[in-house]
Amino acid sequence: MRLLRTVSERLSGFCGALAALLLIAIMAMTVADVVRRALTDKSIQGVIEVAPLLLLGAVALGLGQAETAGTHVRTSLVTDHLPHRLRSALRSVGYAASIYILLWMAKLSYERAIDAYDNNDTTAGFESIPTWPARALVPIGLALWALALFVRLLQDLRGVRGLTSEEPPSEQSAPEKEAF
Amino acid sequence: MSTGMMVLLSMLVFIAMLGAQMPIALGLAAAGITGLLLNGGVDQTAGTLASAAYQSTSTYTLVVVPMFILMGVLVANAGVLSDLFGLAARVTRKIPGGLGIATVLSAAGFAAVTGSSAAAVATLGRLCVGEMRKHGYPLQMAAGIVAASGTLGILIPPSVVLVIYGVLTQESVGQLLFAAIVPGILTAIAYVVTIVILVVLRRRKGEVIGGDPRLATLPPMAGGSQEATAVDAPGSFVTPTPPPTRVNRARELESVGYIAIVFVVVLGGIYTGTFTETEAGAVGALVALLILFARAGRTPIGLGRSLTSALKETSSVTSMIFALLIGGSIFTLFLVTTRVPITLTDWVGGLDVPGWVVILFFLVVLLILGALLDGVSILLLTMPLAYPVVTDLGYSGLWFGIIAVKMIEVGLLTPPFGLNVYLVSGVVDDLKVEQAFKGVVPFIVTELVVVAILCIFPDLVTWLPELMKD
Repeated sequence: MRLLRTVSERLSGFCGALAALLLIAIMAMTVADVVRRALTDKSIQGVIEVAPLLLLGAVALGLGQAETAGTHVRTSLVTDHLPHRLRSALRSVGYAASIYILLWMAKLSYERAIDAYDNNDTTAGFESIPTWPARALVPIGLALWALALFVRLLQDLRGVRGLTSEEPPSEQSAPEKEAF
Repeated sequence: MSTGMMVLLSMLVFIAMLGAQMPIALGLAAAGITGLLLNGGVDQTAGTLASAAYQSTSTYTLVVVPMFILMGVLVANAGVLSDLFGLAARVTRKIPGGLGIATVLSAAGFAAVTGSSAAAVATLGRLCVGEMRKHGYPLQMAAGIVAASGTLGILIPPSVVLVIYGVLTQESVGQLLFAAIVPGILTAIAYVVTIVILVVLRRRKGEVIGGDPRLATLPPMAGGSQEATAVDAPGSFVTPTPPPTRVNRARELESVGYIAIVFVVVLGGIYTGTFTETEAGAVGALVALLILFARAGRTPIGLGRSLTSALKETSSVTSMIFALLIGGSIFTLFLVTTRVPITLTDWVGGLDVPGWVVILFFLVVLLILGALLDGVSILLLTMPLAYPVVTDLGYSGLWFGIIAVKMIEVGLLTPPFGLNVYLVSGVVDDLKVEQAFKGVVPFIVTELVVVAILCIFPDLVTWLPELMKD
């Protein structure tokens, strides 16, 4: 399990770094567009179409990191009041359902990305930008999130067997979390 | 199966996922999937899920969200908040409750460059609670002041929650940001008044709060000194502080200048029409990056680590918020396909009750949800239903957005969820959560009074956006 956890954290960390680079790229591109418009009264073609695609990529690639860093919002209102084994069992069921949903969404998103490639889907607007590269990142991000949850599931299964297990983050236990 | 039963079952799934401590985003998705499966079967649900992420993310208007997050995180990592507090404490030292007021003012200033309340609460908790206690403030009062001050972050623009409201309801994001300025200032003033009243009442009982001559040397983290930035760094602790010097005062003013630059660039750009909201976010993030570079020498963890930490936090928080949006979009699609919003609007329209009763009902719902969920989740759950009803009754969507965010603010303070209360108790060593919850009670009352004022005088919200239109 330790190996799986390391793999999950490293993959999520790597993809999170890529996500951060995409966000910086969005910032740079948008500022460049503003500067060009101020200087020449002309926009950089394609910024409005590319920025949302980069955003989709950044969001997808950061999903796993958000889970491993404990950023996804959840609450332990109910589980805090349950005995250790029952708490682990309840969470295990939740993880199983969550992983199923994420993997189903990943499979469907993958198929949609393939369709987009085959049909040469492009963005609407002045510039026609292919959407498949950004769409292809979605199943990767969802799968990484599912992997991170799978590691938590294994932890909680230890708890069900009466062994010590690590508590997942919660709103009440993660004081450094951002709140919006 | 009837629509009511489908909605009930999907809500039960949502509650079950929440109870099992699953991410709220997945709870919303699971609830939406349940409803879609019951309503349209597997094929229709699969068709929705295949494009859910793309449809709810790849919108140009939403690009502003990560830009505002990046801007706030970069400025937070540049360590300007402690300077703000130092300056505010010096300015307010002769007023009853001066340190508490300084906390509110520095939180309000910080809120002008960040859409988050957590960073302000965590930093102010470390910085201000200890100082207030040294000057006779009861622990629970000090904690209450910090927790309440932090709520200003989600209202005073730039506010990520308001952007999400704008995207969900198609209200102008720029106008929403301007609509929040007066209520934000009003809330800060109301907090200040509350603190003065609390301190005066305690002094009358013979308690000694503030007024200590040592206050003259108080501004603890003056300037961007090593000590100051150490406090801002995540996981660090308050360190002994130097007395104020001319250099430190200059640094405090420099930090105020940075905040002013970011605020003016972002809102000034939108107001004058120089930028769109999205562009303003990107330019604001660039300015924040330059501020971090300018203060790099004074951050104890160095530029590289400050920047890496800021980028990592931004990408995680961005993915978290958009995961909520994706889950929320699936849930909303279920509601829309079953015509729940239209049915509800028609039903409420047929009721023989005044509009304010309906508004009051929604405010109570928001208050209850605010005690259980985070702001974005609450908007995703309620706005598809509440917004059409409220606007159909003739109320301004801008005004309702601000009122809704105010109620979410209250939710950050009320038990059992009260995130800001947990945040402050997490960073102050000997503070129990129960004490912190007691400390925020006067501020919850203040918040509700401000909401009442905004309901009675809606022009306080709408006049600035109207000015912008003109």
